[in-house]
Amino acid sequence: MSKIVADFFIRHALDQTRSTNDIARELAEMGAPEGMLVTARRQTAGRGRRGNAWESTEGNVFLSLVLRPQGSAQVAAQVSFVMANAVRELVAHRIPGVPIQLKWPNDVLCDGKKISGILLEAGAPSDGGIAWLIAGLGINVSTKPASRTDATALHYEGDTRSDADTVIADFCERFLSWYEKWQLDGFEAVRTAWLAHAHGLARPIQIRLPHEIIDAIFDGVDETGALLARLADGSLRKVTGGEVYFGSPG
Amino acid sequence: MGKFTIDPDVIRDLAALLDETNLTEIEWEEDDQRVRVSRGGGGGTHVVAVPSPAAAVAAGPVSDPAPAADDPAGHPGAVKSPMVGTAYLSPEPSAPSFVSVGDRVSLGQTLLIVEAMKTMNPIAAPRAGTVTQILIDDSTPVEFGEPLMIVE
Repeated sequence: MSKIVADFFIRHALDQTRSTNDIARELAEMGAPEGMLVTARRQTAGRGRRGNAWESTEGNVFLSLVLRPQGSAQVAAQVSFVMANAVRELVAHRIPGVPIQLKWPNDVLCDGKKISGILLEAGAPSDGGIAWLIAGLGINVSTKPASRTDATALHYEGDTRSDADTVIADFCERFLSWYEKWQLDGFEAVRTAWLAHAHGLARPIQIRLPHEIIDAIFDGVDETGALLARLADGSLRKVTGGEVYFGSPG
Repeated sequence: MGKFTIDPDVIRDLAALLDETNLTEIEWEEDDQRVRVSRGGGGGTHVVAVPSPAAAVAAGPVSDPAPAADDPAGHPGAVKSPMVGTAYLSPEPSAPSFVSVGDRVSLGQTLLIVEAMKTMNPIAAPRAGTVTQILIDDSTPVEFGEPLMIVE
């Protein structure tokens, strides 16, 4: 680990906890600085967005990072893409030859299968900015949920040597590089790199919002990170939420 | 007519909000003062500041000022969305709502969540008070600056 990376991160390594995001949030509220990294070997109540469970078997990566980005809540949401770029690079480096693509905004797919999950939670905005941002990450290293045929793990994709700790160290290097690039140069470099590996560009897409389903062509991502959906009448619609599904596999 | 002092920050904020939301007019009322920022025919913005409410009639080139009670965006207790996203009234689908109409809330208490790009942003009560209106439905899209709740 380089000195810059070692200086940024302060690791709080736990054997077992309910959810690393919960611990990181408590630490953030107590004033933990940016770079506070909570890791756990096991989570007893690992979760994704909106209460979805995240299976948290020992051998995989479970981490949550305290960030304190400048700017509005809208801008801080771009960390979704910063995280996705870092994880995509990490996975691609470890399983060369397997196509690694990104699904808006931050799912990393190995040959179409999900290998990681990201959960971002901001501290309550006070003045339009945010107090802190917790970036939670799970990466399937040695195991994947048995019930899911649409999930995979590094070991299943041919990388049987990686363990959770080496993946965490690699993530720290790659995340910090992308995070600094985003802070110094803005979103454009992040967006360009993300789009270069986007799954299903210019192809049919379905976006399922809580009360609406949008069928469109995936036209890219705008300068704020919103998904651009080209509708049947040719107009562009900006989408900031919902689940994305692709028209046909592959 | 009472003394009226102009707060340039308020006007700048309102003008920025006007641009962000593509609205043509925003009105802000606090204590006995009211400021209305509207977009003129020439495309620019202009500001009308009037003591409220008696002198509003003489305020100039604006039409049909709605009573504040019918205009949540202009309500001094309005809690507005800091971003474009999806609003959720409960922490997860099976859980009860963060707050209900009539609830007393403390400063900083979470009222709802706005999600954008899979980032969850809890929206905190800007003041202690009572939730008198919930202006959005659960799991619906919200715009920047859109009033979400009224806390008085």
